Amino acid sequence: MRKILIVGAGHSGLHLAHGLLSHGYDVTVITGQSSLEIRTGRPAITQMTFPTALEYERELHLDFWSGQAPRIEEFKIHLYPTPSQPATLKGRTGKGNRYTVSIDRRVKMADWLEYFEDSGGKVVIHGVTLTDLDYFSRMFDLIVVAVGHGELGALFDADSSRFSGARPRVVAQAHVYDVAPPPGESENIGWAASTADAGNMIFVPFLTADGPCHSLFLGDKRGGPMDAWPDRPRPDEQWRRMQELLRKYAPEYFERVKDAALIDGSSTLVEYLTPQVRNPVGVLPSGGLVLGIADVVITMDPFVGQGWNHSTRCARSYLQSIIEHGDRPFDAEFLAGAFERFWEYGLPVQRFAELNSTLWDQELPPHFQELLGASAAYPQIGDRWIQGWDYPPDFENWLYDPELARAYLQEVAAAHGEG
Amino acid sequence: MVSNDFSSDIPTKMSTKIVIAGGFGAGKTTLVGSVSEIPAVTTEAVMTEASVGHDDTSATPQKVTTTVAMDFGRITVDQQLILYMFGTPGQTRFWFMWDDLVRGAVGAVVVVDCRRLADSFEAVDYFETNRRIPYIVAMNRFDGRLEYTADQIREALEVSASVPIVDFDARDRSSGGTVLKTLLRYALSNSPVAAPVG
Amino acid sequence: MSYRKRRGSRIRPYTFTGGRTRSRHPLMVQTLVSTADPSTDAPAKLMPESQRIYRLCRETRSVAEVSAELKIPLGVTQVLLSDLAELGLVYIHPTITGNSPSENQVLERALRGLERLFQ
Repeated sequence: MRKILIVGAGHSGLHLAHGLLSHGYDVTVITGQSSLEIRTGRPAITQMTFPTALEYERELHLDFWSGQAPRIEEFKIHLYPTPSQPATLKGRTGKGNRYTVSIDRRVKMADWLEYFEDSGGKVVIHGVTLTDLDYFSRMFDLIVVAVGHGELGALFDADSSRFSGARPRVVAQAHVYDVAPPPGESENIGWAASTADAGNMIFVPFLTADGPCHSLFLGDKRGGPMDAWPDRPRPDEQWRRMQELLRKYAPEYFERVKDAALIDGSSTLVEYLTPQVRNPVGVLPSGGLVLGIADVVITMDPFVGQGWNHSTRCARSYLQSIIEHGDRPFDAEFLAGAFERFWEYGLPVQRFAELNSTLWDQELPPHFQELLGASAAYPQIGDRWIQGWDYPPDFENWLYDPELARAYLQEVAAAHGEG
Repeated sequence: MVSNDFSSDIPTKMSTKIVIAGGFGAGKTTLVGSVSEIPAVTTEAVMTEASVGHDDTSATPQKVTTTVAMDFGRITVDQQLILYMFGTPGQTRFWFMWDDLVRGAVGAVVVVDCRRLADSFEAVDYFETNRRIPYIVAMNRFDGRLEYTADQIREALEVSASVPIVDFDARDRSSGGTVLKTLLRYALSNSPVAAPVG
Repeated sequence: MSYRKRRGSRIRPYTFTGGRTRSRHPLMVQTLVSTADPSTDAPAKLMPESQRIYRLCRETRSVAEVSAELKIPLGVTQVLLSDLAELGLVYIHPTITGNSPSENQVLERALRGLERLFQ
C-alpha cells in the first residue's frame, strides 16, 4: 500500500486526504492545529462551495452541513460605475435544484479532520519543520504540502512566467446577524458587487458553528479606499467602518446591513495578501521533492471567491493523477505533470480573476453592456454568468471575446424566436 | 483519559508539562537545568524562511535556513507521575513551535530578565492573547537585586491583574522549585469546575 | 425575517454526531510511551527507525526523549510512534493537561511531590 503524507489540514489537503483514503492509500495528515484548536481559532476568508464542488464532496461523504446551511440558490451582481447607478444581473447558482453553500472554515475543517481520523486516516498534531520533511521524504512515497503560510511556503519559488498580475490586496470581513432581507427577493440569495471607485463586496448567507447568519467581505487593493484598517481596529469599530464604506460605495448593501450586528467577538478579520503563482515542486535540502497543492502554489485574487472551488478541483485532479500513476515512483516528472494537468483548469481561472481584478481599468466593453442589458429579458444569460463561477473556464466560450458574446446573444434571441 | 485500549497489565505512568518561556538569554535554560533531575536536553530543528522584509510584494524572496533550539528537563514527582519542563525557542517568530510546546501544558512560566524587559514582551503577549493555559511571570534576580517592583513589571509588560508575579534566582534549585510550585497552585486555583465541551 | 441570534441554533460538531476521534488525545512532546510487550522483539518488517524506537521504549520515556536520544526529529518521531501505537506495538500513556476537574487530583499530587522535592 502506497504511503502518502499530507502536510496541513486545510481545504485542499483534507479533500485529497479523504479521496486517497477512499481509494485504499495509507494516508497520514500532519498538521499544526488540533481539531479543537481549529474550531475555537480565528475565522478565515469566507469561501463558497458551488454545486459541482458540492457534488464532489458528496461523493466522498464530506457534505455534513447542507441540511443546515442556507441554500444560496441565486446570486445577484451589482456593478457600480458610480455609487448611485448600479447595473445588476441575477442568475441561478446551479442548474435544476442545485445550489451553493458557504460554511465556516472552522466548522468544516475541524469536522473533516475528525472524520478523516475516524475513517482510518492517521493524524499527527505537530508543526512541521524542514528537518522533519527531509526525514519524511525517505519514509513516504509522496509528500503533498498543503499549508501555504509559514515557513514551508518558502519551499515554493514564485513563478512569474505563469501569472504576473501580483496585486496586493486587503480583505475585511464580518459575520453578522439581523441583515434586512433583499427587497422583493428570496433570502436564499448571495450578492456580489464590483465598484469602480473602491473594490469588491461579497455578501452571502453563511453557516457558522452558531447557526446561519450572513458573511460580508470587502476587498480592495492595498492602500485603496476600503483599506481602512491600518490601526487594526477592534471588531465593533471595524464593523462600524465597514458599514460606512458600504454607505458610500454600495448603498444597496448598506440598506441591508445598517441594523445588523456582529455574531460574536471573534467574527471579524482583516487580511493582507498578494495573488501569486509559485513553482509547484519544492526541493528539500536532502534533494527530496514535495508537491504543493492549491493555495500553496496559487494565491487566488480574493475578489473572485474561487478559493475553495480551486482547492477542491486541484485536490480532485491530483487524486486522479496519483491513482492513474499506479505503482510507479512519484518522481519530478510526475509532480510537475500533476500540476500541469490541473493548470489546464487553473489558467482559465486566472484569466477570469484577471478580468475581475482589472474590470474598471477601462470603460466596460460594449459587449458586456449588451449582455447585461439582454439579461433582463433572457434569464438564461444571468444563469450562465453566475454558473460560470462554478466552472470559470466556460467564460472563455462566450464572455471575453466580443464576437463570441454576440454570437451567444443571437443564439439566445433565436431560441426565443426573435432572431 | 487513556488514549489506547490496552489490557491493564501494563503499568501505567502519567506525564504532565510546564512551559518555560521568555526572551533570549532571560534564564529559561538555566531554570530548566537547575530544577531538572537530568541535564537539560537540547533538540534542534531546521527551518526555512523567506528572507523578505515586511513588504511581501518583493518578487523573489531569498530562502535562508535557521536552526531553532529548544530544551527540556524532567522531574519524577512520584512512581507514576513525571513532570516535564520545556523551554521555548528564543526566536519568537516561530509561533507554530510554541503552539506545539504549549498544547496540553498545565501552565507556563515567563522568565523575565529585568535588565531587558522588552525581550519578554512577546512571550507575555502570547499567553495574554491566547489564554489557553494559565501562566505566571518570574523575574530572574541575576545579580541578587531587582531593578523593578512587581507592579512596575505588570504595568510595563501589560500583565493581567490576576497573574502572579514572583522573583527568583534561576541558578538556585530551590528558588526554581518555588516558581514551579507557585505555577501549579495558580493553575489549580484556576482549574475548570465543569468538563470542557467539544 | 433574517438570520438572528437564537438559542438552540448552534450546530452539532461532528464529534457529537458519531465521532470518536483519537486526535483529541494526541501524542504530545511530553506524552510517555512504552513498548507494549517488552519481552518480544520488534517485528522485522518495521522500518529501522521504528525498530530503534521499539527497543528504546522497553523503558517508558517521553516523545521528546525518544526524539532526542535517537536524533529523530520530533514530528517524525510522532508519526512513527502513532504508527507503532496503531499496530498495537507501543502503549501511549495518559497525558495530564489540567483541562478537566478529574485531573485536578493528579495536579495536586504533582504539587505535593514538588513540595517534598523542593523544600
